[in-house]
Amino acid sequence: MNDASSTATEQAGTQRRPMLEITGISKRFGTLEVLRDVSLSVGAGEVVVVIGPSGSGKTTLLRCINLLEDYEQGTVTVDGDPIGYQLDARSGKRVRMSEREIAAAREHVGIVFQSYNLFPHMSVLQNIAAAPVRVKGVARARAEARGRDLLAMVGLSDKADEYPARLSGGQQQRVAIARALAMDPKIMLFDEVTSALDPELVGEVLAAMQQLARNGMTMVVVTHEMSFARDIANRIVFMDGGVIVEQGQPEQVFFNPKTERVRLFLKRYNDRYRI
Amino acid sequence: MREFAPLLHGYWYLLRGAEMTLLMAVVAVIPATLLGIAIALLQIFGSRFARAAVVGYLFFIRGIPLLVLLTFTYYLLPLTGIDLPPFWGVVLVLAFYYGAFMSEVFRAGILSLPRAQWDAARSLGMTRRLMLQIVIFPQALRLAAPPFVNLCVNLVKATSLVSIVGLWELTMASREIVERTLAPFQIFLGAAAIYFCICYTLALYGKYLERRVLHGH
Repeated sequence: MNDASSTATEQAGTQRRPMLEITGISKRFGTLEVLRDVSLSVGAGEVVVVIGPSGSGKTTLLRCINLLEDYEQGTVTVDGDPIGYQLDARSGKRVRMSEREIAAAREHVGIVFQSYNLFPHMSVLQNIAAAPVRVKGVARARAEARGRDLLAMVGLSDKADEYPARLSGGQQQRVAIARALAMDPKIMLFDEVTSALDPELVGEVLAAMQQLARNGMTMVVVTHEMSFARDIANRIVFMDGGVIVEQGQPEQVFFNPKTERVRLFLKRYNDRYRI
Repeated sequence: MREFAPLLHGYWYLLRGAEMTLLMAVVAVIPATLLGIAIALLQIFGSRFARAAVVGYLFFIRGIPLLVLLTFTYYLLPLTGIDLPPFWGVVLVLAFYYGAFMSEVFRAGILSLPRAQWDAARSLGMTRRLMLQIVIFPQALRLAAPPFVNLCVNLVKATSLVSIVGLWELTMASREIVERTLAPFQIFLGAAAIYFCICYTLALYGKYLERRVLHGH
C-alpha cells in the first residue's frame, strides 16, 4: 500500500468504530487477477464511494464482501463478525464457514444491484417482506407494516401491491433499496445502482441514498456519478487494476489527486461529460 | 348411420377403456414429475458422482424406445422375483421413462432464470432450500409449465402402447370390440376421437399457460 492511501485510512479510521474490515482480499478469474491484496476499513456511519475505470475490480470487491463472489485470499468482517471465512485461532489458517453460517452473516449486509433484481413473481410488498418473514422469522403483519414504512421512505407508498414489471426502473430500484433495508442491515452496498436507469430517473434513486446516508447508514457505493460521489462521500476510494490506487476526502481526491492515474481518470471523465 | 352401429354398441366399453387410460396417465405422471424435479436438482446441485449417474440414466432412457422398455421390463420383472401387478409395472416404466424427459424440462426452467435472481436471494440471507422454495421454483415451474403439459400429452398417447404387455385400456378395448364386430374403421375412429379430446384439452391448457408465461403477471 502506498503512502497516499495509508494516511487517508488513518484519517478516516480514527474517529469511527470499524463496521466493515476487508483484509488482504485477492481474487482471480483464471489467469486474470481481479483483486490484488485489497484492504479497506469502513467506519460505522461512514459513506465510502469507490470509483475507477471499468474492469478495475470495484464491483467484484463489493460482491466479495457478502461472498456473492468467492475469493482466494483474505477475510472480511462486518461489525467484528467474520463473513465467509474465519481465521483459525491456532493455525492462523483461513477456514470457510458453513453455508448456513454464511447465509446468516449475509443478513447484515444489504446490497442493491445495477439490474434491480426484484422477484418478478412477488408484489412490491411481498418482495420487501419475504426475507424478514422467512429468514428472520418476523411476524408477517409486522414485516408488512415495516415494509410500508420503508416504501413511504423511498416515496412509493402507493405501489405496495403492484408487481415489479409495472414499475419504472427508478421505482424498481427504490423498491430494491427498501427490500435490502427491510433486513435491518448493518451496512449497505450499492453496485452502480443508477447505471441502468434513464437519466431522468437517476435523481430519485440518488435522493433515496442521500436520505439513507443522512440517517447514519454505513454505505459502500460503487458509482460513475462523480458529482453524486462528491456530495455523498466521506471518503473516495479510487481503484484500478485490482488495487486501491488512492483514497481520501472527496475534495482532495477530486481537486487535488496525489497520483497521476487518478488525475488522468478525472480528466478523461470531465472531458467526456463537459457540455 | 347404420355403418356406425358397432360404435354405438361399443361406446360404453370404449369409455371405460378411456377411463383406464386416464387413470394410468394420472398415476404415472405424479412419480414422473417428482422424479423429473429430483433429477433436475441432482443434475444442477449434485456431487460429481450424482451428476454422472444422472447423465448415464438420461442417456440410457433417451436411447431406447418406450415399447422396447415396456416389453423388456415385462419379461425381466418376473425373473428378478419382483412380483408387481402389471398395472404398477407399467406405471413404473412410464414414470422412469417420462421422468427423464421431465427432468430436462425442469432443468431448463431453473437454469433459464437469470443468475441475478440467485444473487438477490442469497444477499437477503436465504439458504439454498429457501431460495429454491420461494424464489426459484415459483418462477421456474411457470416457465416449465407449457413444455410440461406437452409431455403430459405425449404420456397419454404413450399409454396406448401398454396393450402390448396385456394391460387393458382404451386401445386394448378397441381391439377387443373390433374382434367381435369386425368394424375396425368405426371403432378406431371412436378411439381416436376420445384420445383427441383428452389431448386437445390438455394442449389448449398448455397454450393458455404459455400465454401466461409470455405476458408475465
